[in-house]
Amino acid sequence: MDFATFEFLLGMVLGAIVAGVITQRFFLLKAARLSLAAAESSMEESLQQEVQELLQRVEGFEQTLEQERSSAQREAGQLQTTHAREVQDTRSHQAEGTGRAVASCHSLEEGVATLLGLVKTFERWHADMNALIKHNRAMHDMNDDFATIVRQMVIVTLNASIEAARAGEQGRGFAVVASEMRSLAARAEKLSTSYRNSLYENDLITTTTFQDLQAGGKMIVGSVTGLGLINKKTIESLSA
Amino acid sequence: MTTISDNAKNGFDYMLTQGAKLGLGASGDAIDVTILPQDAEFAEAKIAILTVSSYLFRIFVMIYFTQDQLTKEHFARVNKTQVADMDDQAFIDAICEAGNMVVGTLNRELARIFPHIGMSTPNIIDRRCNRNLDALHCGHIQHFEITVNQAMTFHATMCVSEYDDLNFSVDTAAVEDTGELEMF
Repeated sequence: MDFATFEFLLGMVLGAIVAGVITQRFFLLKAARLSLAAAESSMEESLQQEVQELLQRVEGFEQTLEQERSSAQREAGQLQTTHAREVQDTRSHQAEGTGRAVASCHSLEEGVATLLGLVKTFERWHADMNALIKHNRAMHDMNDDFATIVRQMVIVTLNASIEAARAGEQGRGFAVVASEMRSLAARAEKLSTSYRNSLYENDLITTTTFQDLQAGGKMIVGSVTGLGLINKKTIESLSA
Repeated sequence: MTTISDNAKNGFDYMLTQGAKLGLGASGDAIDVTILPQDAEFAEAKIAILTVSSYLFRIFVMIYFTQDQLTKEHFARVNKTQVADMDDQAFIDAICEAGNMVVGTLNRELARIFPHIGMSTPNIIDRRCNRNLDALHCGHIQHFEITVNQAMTFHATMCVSEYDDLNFSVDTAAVEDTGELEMF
C-alpha cells in the first residue's frame, strides 16, 4: 500500500470518525433538546397549574374580601344610623334640658326680684327705729323733768325740816313728815337715776339692734343681687 | 363658746386704725392712732355709732364727739367750708360722713375675707350709753385715741360680737408698701 492510499484511507477513517462524532453529537444534542423541551413543557404545565391555583385563591380572597367589605359597609351603615339617632336623641335631650334650665333660671330671676323687695322691709324697720329713738328721746325728756321735780322736792323737804326744827316742840310732828318726804324724794331721785341709766342702755340696745338689722339687710340684698347676676350670666350662656 | 384669735383682734384693730386715718382728717394731715386702756373714760357729749354685720360677727364702731368750736373748725377745714356755714345739721352730717369713711374702710377691707357683709347708716346717741357696753356681749372691745395734726383729738371704741370662731391675719408690712391690707 502506497502512501497515497494510506493517506486516503486514513483520511477516510478520520472523516468517518469525525462524521460519527458529529452525528453522535447531533443526536445527543437533538435528544437534549427534546428532553429540554419536554422539561419546559412540564414546567410550563406546572406553572400554569400553579398560576391557575393562585388565580383561584386570589379570586377566593377577592370574594371573601368583597363579602367582608359588604358586611363592614352594612355594619358601618347601621352604626351611622344608630349614631345619628343617638346624636339626635342627645340633642333633643340637651335642648329639653337647656329649655328647662332656662325656665328655672327665669323662675329664679323672678324669685330674686321678689326677694329684692325685702329692701322695703328694711326701710320699714329703719323708719320704726327712728320712731323708737324719738320715743326714747321723749322718755329721756320726761325723766329729766321728773328728775328736776325730785331735786326740787329734796330742797323743799330740806327746807321743811329746817322750818320744823325752828318750830321746836310744836314742829316735831311736822319734822317727822318732812323727814319722810325727804326719804321719799331721795328714793324718787335714785329711781330717776336708775331709769335714766336704763334709758341709755335701751338707746344702745335699740340702736345697735336696728343697725344690725339694717346692715344685715344690706348683706342679704348684696348676696341676692350677686345671685341675680350669676343667674343672668347663666341665662346668657344657655341662650348663646 | 366662740373665740376671736389674737391675730383677728389685731386685724380688726389695724383695719379700724386705717379707717380712722382715712376718715377723720383731710388729705395730708398727720394722724396718730393709739390704743387706750380698757378702762378708759371719755368726756365727749355724743357718739356717732355705725355697725358692720356678717352672719359670723357684728362690729359696732363708736366715734365720740362734742359739738364745740374746735370740732366745728376741724370739720370745716376737712370739708373745705366755713365754720359759720356749719350749723347743727351740717355738723351732724360732717361727723356722720366721717363715721361713714372710717367704718366704710373697715367694711371694705373685711369684705375681702368675709364676702357677705353689710354696713349700717350712722346714728347719734348719748355718750353715757357707753356705760352699757356689756349689754352687747362682745368678745373684743378696744378704745382708740386719734390725734389730727396734734391739734384735734377724737376717741373711738370698737366692739366685736362674734357668733363663730374668728381667725384671720393682716399683713401690716404689705400695707405699708401698697396701701392695701393683705389678708391670710
